[in-house]
Amino acid sequence: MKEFDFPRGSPKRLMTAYALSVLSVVAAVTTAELLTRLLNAEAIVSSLLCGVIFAAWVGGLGPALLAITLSLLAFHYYLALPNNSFLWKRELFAADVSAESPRLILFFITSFIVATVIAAQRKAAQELRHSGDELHAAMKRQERIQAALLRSEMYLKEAQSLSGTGSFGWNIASGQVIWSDETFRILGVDRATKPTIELIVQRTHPEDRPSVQETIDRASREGRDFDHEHRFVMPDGSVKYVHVVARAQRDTSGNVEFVGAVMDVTGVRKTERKLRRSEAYLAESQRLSRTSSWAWDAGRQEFVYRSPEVYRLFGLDPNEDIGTNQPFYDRILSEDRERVIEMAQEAVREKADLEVDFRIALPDGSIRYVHSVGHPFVGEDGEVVQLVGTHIDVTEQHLANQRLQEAFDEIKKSEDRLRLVVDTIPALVWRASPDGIPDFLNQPALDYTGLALDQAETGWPRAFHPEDKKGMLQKWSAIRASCMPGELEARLRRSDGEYRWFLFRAVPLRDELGNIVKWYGSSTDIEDRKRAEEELRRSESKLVEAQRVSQTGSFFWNISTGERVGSEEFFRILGYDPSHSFSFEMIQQRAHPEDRALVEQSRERALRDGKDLDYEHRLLMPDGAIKFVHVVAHAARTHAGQLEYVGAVVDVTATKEAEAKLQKAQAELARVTRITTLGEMTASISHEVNQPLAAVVNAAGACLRWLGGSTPNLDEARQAAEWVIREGNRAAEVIRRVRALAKNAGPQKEMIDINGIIDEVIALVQRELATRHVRWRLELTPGLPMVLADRVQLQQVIMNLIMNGVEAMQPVADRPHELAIRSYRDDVQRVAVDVVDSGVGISADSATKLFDAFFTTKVGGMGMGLSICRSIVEAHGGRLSAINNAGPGARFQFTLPVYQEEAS
Amino acid sequence: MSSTKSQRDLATAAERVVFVIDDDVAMRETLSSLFRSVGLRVELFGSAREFAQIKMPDAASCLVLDIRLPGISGLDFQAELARADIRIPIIFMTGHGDIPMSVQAMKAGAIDFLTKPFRDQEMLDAVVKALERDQKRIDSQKVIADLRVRFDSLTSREREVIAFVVDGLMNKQIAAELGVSEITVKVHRVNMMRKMKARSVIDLVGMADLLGIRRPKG
Repeated sequence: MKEFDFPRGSPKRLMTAYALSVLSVVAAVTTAELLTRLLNAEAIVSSLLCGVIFAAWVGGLGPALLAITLSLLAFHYYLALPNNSFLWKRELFAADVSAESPRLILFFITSFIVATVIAAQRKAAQELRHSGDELHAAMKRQERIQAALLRSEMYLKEAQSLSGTGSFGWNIASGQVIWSDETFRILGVDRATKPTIELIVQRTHPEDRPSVQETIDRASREGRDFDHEHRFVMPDGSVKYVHVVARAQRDTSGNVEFVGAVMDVTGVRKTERKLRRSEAYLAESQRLSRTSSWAWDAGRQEFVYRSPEVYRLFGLDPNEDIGTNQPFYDRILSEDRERVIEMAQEAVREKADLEVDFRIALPDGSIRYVHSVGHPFVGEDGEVVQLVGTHIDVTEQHLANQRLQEAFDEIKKSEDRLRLVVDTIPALVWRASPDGIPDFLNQPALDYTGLALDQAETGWPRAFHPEDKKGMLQKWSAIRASCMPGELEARLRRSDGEYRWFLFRAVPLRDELGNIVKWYGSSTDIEDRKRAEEELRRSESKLVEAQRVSQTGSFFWNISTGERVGSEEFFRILGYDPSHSFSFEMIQQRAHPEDRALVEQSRERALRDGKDLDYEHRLLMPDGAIKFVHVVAHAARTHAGQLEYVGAVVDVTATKEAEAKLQKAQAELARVTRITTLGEMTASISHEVNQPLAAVVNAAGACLRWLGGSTPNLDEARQAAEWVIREGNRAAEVIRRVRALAKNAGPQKEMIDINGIIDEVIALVQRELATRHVRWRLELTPGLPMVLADRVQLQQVIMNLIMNGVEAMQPVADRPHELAIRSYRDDVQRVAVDVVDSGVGISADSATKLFDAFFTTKVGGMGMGLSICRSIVEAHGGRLSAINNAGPGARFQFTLPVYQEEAS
Repeated sequence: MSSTKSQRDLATAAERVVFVIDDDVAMRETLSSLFRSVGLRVELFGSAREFAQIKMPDAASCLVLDIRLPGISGLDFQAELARADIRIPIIFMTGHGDIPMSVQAMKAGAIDFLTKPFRDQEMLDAVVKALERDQKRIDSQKVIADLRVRFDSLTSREREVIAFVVDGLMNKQIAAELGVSEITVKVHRVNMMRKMKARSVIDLVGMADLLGIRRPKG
């Protein structure tokens, strides 16, 4: 049954209540009707009353009133006329009210009283129930509280145990002390023991007892809260740190009672101490290392913590409250500011560590370099909550680094300079250890030998010429052993394989004790010098040779100082030993008596005028031989103004003799040439003779014809005859002229060496041959027997044959012109001479007429030469013949009897 | 006997002339005497230049020339004459043994090459030969000239006909070629033969050859 009450209840309940009351009235009416119909009794009042009662019981007073109201209305209707009509009557109250009104009023009062009573009862019942429920609930609560209390007591105990916290109560007045289990445990006292203050004091560390006692006294005296830490010493000797907290309370009697807690803070304290220590260390180390720590809140975008060192770093006072971050930002150099912020933001974004360098400018104007590192702390949501890091003042390092870098750069630069120097100098520079192995070669050395440095250490001897290697190694050892600077020469191989002479100089480097630590050396290319030396040597020897060959002796004579030097050949010409000192007496002695005056004169002139000398004179050697010398000397002034002669003495004896011979031969040549010209002349001679002869023949023929005709023309005939005579004379004249030219003494025969004749002829025609580009060679058999012959005529023959051969070669263009002259003994022991040419050869039809007079194949030729030759040869008892070579050209051969044959 | 013969021959041809060029006066005079003694007319010159200035005669002539002349060699002179189309026969003389030259001279068309001193008969024979050759040339030229006159007297039609006849065409063919009747061709032919004084086609052909008439190819 729902609880309804007038003041309370939801609208819904109220509505329900009122609805029910209405329903009850309706039901009552209906019932009444039914009853009326059934029982035929008037039950309306009773029913309505029931309805009201029901409404009051169910809904309380309100609904009951409503029911009453409705009942009255129903009643009125019921009683009013027309009866039992459900139609509305307009004049409801116009009905017979007065008749029924006592009933109505009675009903009203009755029902009202009833309703009220019932409502009241209902309410009371309700209230009773309600308080019964409340009591029940309160009981339940009590139980719960009890249970909760028990539970919390248990928790407390547990919590105390876990946290090492024990609680206590202490009544000052009664002195009663109550301890929790944990307190017993902390104190290390058995549970059964009675808690007392004395026990506490007992347990207290001796050092702390005075302060503890004081606290207790004060507490008990003043009754105020206290908070104290001290140490306990346990029975087993261990020390416990406790934190005692107590609050003073007044109990019911007004006495002070303390309620407190004892916390075993040993662990905490120890940890604290450690922490503090390490904090102190940290702070100290931070201070010493100038490290400052900071924390940056990502959410708030600002620093939430800065260690004191940060302040100091930024030149701010840590004790001053800065408030904002601005002063810090301001100190950062503007160029770095953005970067720092950006890097911090990036670290937050990327959830990565921060590492950034920046500079700050202190008020005093100095710049400090800061290296900042930070680590992100990620919150529960995965986002960065904080960046925690340190600033490290790296100014000193930075500066030190800078200086170090500068120093390095300097070193590097000077190293580079040194290296440049070492690599640029045109010498090969090397360094070797005391055992002689090179450990450094400069660039030119490496380039030259083509070695790499590592190769050099092991392979260096191979860079030397095989012939020089042994000697070089020996000398190098000797130098090292001597511990003195030294040098040696050896050939070094160039990278392209060529060997060149080098001069190696080594110098030792000693340490403070004087021991040799390294050998330093340079090697210079002396190849050119060596070559020049070699050249000089060679040219000197050539000069000596040349002088000897040319028979020229050189001399040098400084007039002022009297210094005189003569070459080897000079002495040899004069016929003196080279070790002789050079003096004018020498020359005077040797000069031919007849020429002495000349020599003396020349010398005086030289001394006087200082002009060049050039004269010839004869020397009379000790053995009586005469030498011709040609003296030439050039006068020059030295830079000191001294007069000196540089000259040569040429032994021209041979030249003179040759000249004499030449002159003689030339005379001969002229004579022979005249004879040869004769041969040339026969060309024109023949022509000159032929002309008149032809005219004679013509004239004679004409004459005969003039006379032989039917009528002889005597005049013409006579004229013709006259021509005959005239031309005949002319011819005779020509012959006469020829004969005049050809005048020479008859052949003068003598003993002749044919080879000598050949040589002479060659000497005469040499130039001619050269001009005509004729290559000639002599194949003369030595030791041929003499022949008896006319020298000039033989010369003529040979010359003729030679010139013939030359002429025969003139037309030839496709092969060289070669002439060979041979002399030998033929198979019948006669002396034979062959003149072989490479010319056009002898044609078939010329062969028979070759030696005929007036026969020639030459354009403009005379046809006399060969015939003359033949007649000469035959006059000597020899034979002249010609034959073609197997190859090109022809061979003319003449033989002469040997002298013995003649004699016999 | 040959000399008698040549004398007779030469005597009848009095207008023939021998030219002699030699720088030696004796040579010139004696040769002149020699030639005149056999009845030849002689003209003498001392140099090639002198000779070059004269006009060539109508009658037969020949040239006796020393191969070595001042100013010009005989061979060169020979070549010059040939260039000038003066076809006078040449006989060379030389006092030197110029055999290679002689070969050259002969190849260039000389009648003979004689070396001094030569036999007089040799010279005379050479001259006669030369003159006969020249005469032949003259005669031949005359014949051609004659033929040319005859040819010139032909009408153009007759000239056409000659070409075809010489080529061996029948009258019928000629008629077809010319586009006339055979009768007409026959008439032309008769006239042409008469004018040309040819006795037969063979004759005509020979004349045509001399004249250089060829049927135009077409």
